Amino acid sequence: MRSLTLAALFTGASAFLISSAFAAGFFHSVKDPATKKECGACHMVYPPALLPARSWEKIVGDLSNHFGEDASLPDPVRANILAYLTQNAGDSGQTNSWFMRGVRDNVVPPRITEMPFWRGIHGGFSPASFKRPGVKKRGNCLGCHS
Amino acid sequence: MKRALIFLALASLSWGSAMAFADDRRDAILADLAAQAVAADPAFTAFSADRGKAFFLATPSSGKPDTPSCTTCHTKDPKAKGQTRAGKEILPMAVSKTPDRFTDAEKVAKWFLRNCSSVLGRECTAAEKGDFITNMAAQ
Ligand code: HEC
Repeated sequence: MRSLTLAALFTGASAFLISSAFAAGFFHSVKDPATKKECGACHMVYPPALLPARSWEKIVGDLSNHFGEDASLPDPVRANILAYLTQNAGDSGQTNSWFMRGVRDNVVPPRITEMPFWRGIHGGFSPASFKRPGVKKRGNCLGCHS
Repeated sequence: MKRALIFLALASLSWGSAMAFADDRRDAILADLAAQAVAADPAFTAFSADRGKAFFLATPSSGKPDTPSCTTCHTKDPKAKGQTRAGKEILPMAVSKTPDRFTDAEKVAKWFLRNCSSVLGRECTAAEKGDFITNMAAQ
């Protein structure tokens, strides 16, 4: 019964998200060529507004230990990408600060799926729903939002 | 008809020369690696596709736990498509399948640096890099 409710909830939610023009445009909104090329070589290009600038500094400052991989970049490229990400970060004032809700000043969120907004929205989904074949990982936004 | 033939002839010419150009650039990268290999070891003679194949399939267990082997992302079959850990498709490493492989020196250097560090926990030697490319070029 519980799984039925969850399934109904999930289908309803994904139907909503799939039809959402917001999601489709937003997840493809990065236009910066170096960011698209280098970050996009391995995974979807996350819009910088999803994290505060301090998180981007931490991530791009330690690319040789990037979520279990060495993703290091030569310096002019790395610095340009970091500048783009921090200038357009969620707390840069240029973008929707809604993503920053609930983030404490003394915390550096290590990844998007640990942001309070992300947990708030996705808290109801079972771990299995993120393991479905077209999704596989929590960080694969486009697995559901496209 | 005649037009179509001329078009076909031109298309195959430019395809052919694009391939030859790619081969030149790959050869230049290999020549550079060979010079480095000799500098590191005067006894070095030539790259070996067999050594490259063994290197590709090995599981050195000196790198990061999530990337035990080159085959973690590139699969054991160089002619098959691979996948990043995040699920993004990687075109085959075999030059017969992806003709512009190993033709951009900067790209080659960047990925050897990263992937050798992830899989082996160190930089690859010039000999290992040359063997790897030689094997993929023969596939
Ligand atoms: C974590 C995943 C992953 C692992 C493990 C991995 N690679 Fe790759 N490799 C990639 C990706 C992604 C690319 C870039 C995508 C592309 O070129 O299609 C790439 C590209 C390359 C390139 C550049 C190819 C070119 O066209 O110039 C070389 C060389 C390479 N890898 C060698 C290796 C070697 C050698 C190993 C093992 C020591 C290895 N890779 C392990 C993911 C990986």
